[in-house]
Amino acid sequence: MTDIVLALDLGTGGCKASLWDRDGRMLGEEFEPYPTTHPRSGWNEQAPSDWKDAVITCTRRLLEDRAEVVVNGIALSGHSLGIVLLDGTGEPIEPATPIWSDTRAVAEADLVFAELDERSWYLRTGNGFTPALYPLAKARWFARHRPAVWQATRMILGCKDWINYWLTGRLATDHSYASGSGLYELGLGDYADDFLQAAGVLRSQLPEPMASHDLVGNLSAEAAATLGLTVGTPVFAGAVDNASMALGSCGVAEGRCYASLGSSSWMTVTSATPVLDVDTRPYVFAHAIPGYYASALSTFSTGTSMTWVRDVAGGGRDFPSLLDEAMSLSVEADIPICVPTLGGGTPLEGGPRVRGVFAGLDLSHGVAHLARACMEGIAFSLERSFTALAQLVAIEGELLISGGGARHGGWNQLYADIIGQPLVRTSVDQQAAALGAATIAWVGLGAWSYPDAERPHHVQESYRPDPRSALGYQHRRSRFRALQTVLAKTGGTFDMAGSAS
Amino acid sequence: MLIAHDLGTTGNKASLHTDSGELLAAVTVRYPANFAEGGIAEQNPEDWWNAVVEATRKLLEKTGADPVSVAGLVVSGQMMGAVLLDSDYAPVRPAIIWADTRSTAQVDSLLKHFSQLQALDILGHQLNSTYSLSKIMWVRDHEPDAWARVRHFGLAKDFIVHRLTGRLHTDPSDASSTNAFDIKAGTWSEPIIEASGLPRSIFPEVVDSTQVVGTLTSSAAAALGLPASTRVVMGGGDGPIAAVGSGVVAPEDPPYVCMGTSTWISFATAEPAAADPRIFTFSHVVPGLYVPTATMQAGGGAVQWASEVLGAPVPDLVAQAQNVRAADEGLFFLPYLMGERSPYFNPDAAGTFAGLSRHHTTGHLMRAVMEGVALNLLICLDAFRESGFETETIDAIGGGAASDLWLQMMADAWGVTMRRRSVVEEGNSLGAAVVGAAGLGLTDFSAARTLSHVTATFEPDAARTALYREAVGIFREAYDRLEPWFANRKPTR
Repeated sequence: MTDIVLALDLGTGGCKASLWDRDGRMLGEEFEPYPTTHPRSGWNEQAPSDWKDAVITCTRRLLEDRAEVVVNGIALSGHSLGIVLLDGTGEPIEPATPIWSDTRAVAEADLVFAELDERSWYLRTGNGFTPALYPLAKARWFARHRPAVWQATRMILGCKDWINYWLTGRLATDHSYASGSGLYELGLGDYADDFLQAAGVLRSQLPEPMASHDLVGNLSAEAAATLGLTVGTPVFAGAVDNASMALGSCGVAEGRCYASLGSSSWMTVTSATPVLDVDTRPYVFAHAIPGYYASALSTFSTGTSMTWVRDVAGGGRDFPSLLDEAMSLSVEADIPICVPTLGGGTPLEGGPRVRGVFAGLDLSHGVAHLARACMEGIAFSLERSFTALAQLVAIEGELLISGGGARHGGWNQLYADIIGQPLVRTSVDQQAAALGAATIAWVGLGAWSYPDAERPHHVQESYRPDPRSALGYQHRRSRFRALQTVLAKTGGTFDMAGSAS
Repeated sequence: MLIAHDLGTTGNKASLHTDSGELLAAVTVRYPANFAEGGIAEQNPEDWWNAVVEATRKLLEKTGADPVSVAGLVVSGQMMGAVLLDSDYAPVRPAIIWADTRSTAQVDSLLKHFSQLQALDILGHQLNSTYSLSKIMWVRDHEPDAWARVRHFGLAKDFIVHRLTGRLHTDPSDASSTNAFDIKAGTWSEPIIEASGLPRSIFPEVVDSTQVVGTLTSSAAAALGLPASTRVVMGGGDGPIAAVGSGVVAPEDPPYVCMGTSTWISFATAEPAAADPRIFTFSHVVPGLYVPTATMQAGGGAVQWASEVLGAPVPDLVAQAQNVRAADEGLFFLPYLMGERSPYFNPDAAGTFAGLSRHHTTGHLMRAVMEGVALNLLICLDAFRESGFETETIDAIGGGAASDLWLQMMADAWGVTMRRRSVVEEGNSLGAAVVGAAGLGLTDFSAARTLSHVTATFEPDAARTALYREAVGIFREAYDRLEPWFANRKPTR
């Protein structure tokens, strides 16, 4: 018999269930997608029943033919900023709920900040995304636009807490998830009364936050039967995905930093105090590890920009060959400059209205130059995030990279040269959130302490900055920054609306 | 019948024409160019001569034309270069051609004597390293041994006409591409030449483009296989010659846009255009007239480049560009892939896509490239309009004029009727033939108007014109904001 824990990772695209043994080996995983619907512009909704169905489907699939395993405990990682509204019976009042990326509450955010000072709210909450995304603003949206729903609301839960409720019958949350509500003050470790008042939320409508490894409860008979698990299996509070990923990405000590490189990318540092900056707006969550914080800066339009270059100019090339061609150009080659914010930028990148630019093109440039410029532009954007974080907190050791954007050796070396930091890619890669959840479960069971989350990481590749190349990139980095500045001065774009302002 | 030669950058085209200029046959003989680091662009004048000889012989062979029936020869040539000759009229070094930009220090020294506006007023052009004068000064400053042997200077076609006739002259159109010619006076500019420190004696006599310079020398006649009695007409620079090829021989003729690799708008006037740094003026090959001109470095060249980068043939991309919007959606392309001449005269300017969004497709990018050329030329056209020039019609020639979409875009952007003329690559040959035929007394310049005809007409859509008017403001603003960035784009070595 093998003792394992079940990690459930509710991502934006679907649920991933995975099994982890006591030595940190992942024994298997299953993924089940669920849809996001867009009933109106800016609305992004998911159905809580789809989450539950996905949890059931992939857990059952995962446990098939695995009579040898004993599930010792369960913990979830879940996508952030959730606002599932439950009535007095504990059922979601509406079949679909806005997810983190839903921007419907822009006007309500303005209402909230007519009452609260936005800057001080940011500094107390660490909530560095657009404020409209946070449940604080969305609660006001429901009160204004769905008064009957809001009247009936007895409890507000996040996605993984709603699954925990179904698993155990207990309404709970953890500090990391609560810290993405817009209502939670990092310094207090609790919801703040003035935030609750501005959002129109009662303290009684929110579950009390506990530690991620605290026991929420034991698996109910119904859930156990549905999932094919043993009644009474301990379920721990788990964490918001940002925090579980930080934990699963060696974020177990102060100054540890990792970069997740995908369609969009981010860089997260673990620290004992929140990393806050009004200008660059790092977004901060309470960490899964008590007393720590996970502070991050995003870069939009990273992988999506490379996909775009391949689609419009790739002439049918696949990614590896396009990236190979791009990397066959030397550092000294005349490479144009790309600002890759094709889908808008973060505050650091000039805001949501900014658009993409390729500048410095001449007749000698071909598709390889465009691709290389885009790769460099993405790296310069990440370097900017890294530098901004490093100015606020001491970064320790190598930068862990993971995700689909970290699979090309040449590009990884380019990241190292431009960011100026040694990089490693490990065996955990995109399992970080699952590893974080599994760690929480093993810690809850008393078998691990948090630093054990590092054990499953085996270095696969490491990249040291080459000083000569780094020097070669210096000029283009300054041109990249200068181009971003030109863009910022135009309001982010050269379009007709932009010129009017 | 007569034979026209067109000395281009990639080769010489010899063409056989009727007495009224109609094209009967053509033969091209290619030659190399040496492009090297430091802005160097050179060709060997002997290669030009050999190409003239070979092309003439092949043309006669191909057509079976009786050499005795060839009334004369005329030469059109690439402009702005410098062929330096010794006392025996032999080249002392390779010719420095139009594309060469090494002589910036020499331009700077001239700018100590004249402001660009003063120069523009005298020369019709700003002082720039792409013109002959600073190139000659560079040889003086850097190659004293070669310089010691220099006795004469000429343009490409002047060297060939000398080889044909034994007489070295130039004509006003080519002279106006040297940065040393007083365009209003129609003579070499004494103050400019004095400021350059070059000896006045190396500058050849300027004669009309239509002047019969002489007949073939016996050795030229033997080489070409033509009678020694064959007359040779001076000819001119290929820019003004192309205007003739497009039927632009009098101020009342509509302007034309030549949509080749580089792309320009030009028209005939009785006076040089007012000194405006966005445009320049050549003397015409039609005696007494001028051709104000605005030239983009990469017009058709930008479209060709886009086709290579986007990995699809031009017609496919143009089809994709047909049904999408670029400027309307905030997507712009600054088409400065080789720096730019008109309207900025900024060699540091570079190509730029701005306003890119994830939903933009290959077709959007192609449309932005085509619009970028139209918008850049709109700025140039505005400069002409500000100097009092008005037109309701513009004729288009060259390879790029084959695109309905592009001509409609230009009609809309410029608010004029665009007409496609049946001239693709033969504009220089036709123009040269008319200059030759006029010089030989076979016909007059009005023959140029009937050598090609209008094959399609594109009317402007007023709503689109208003939209492009708004777009050109943003397009300009994008350049203005990026100009300092362009200046610091490349690392200083």
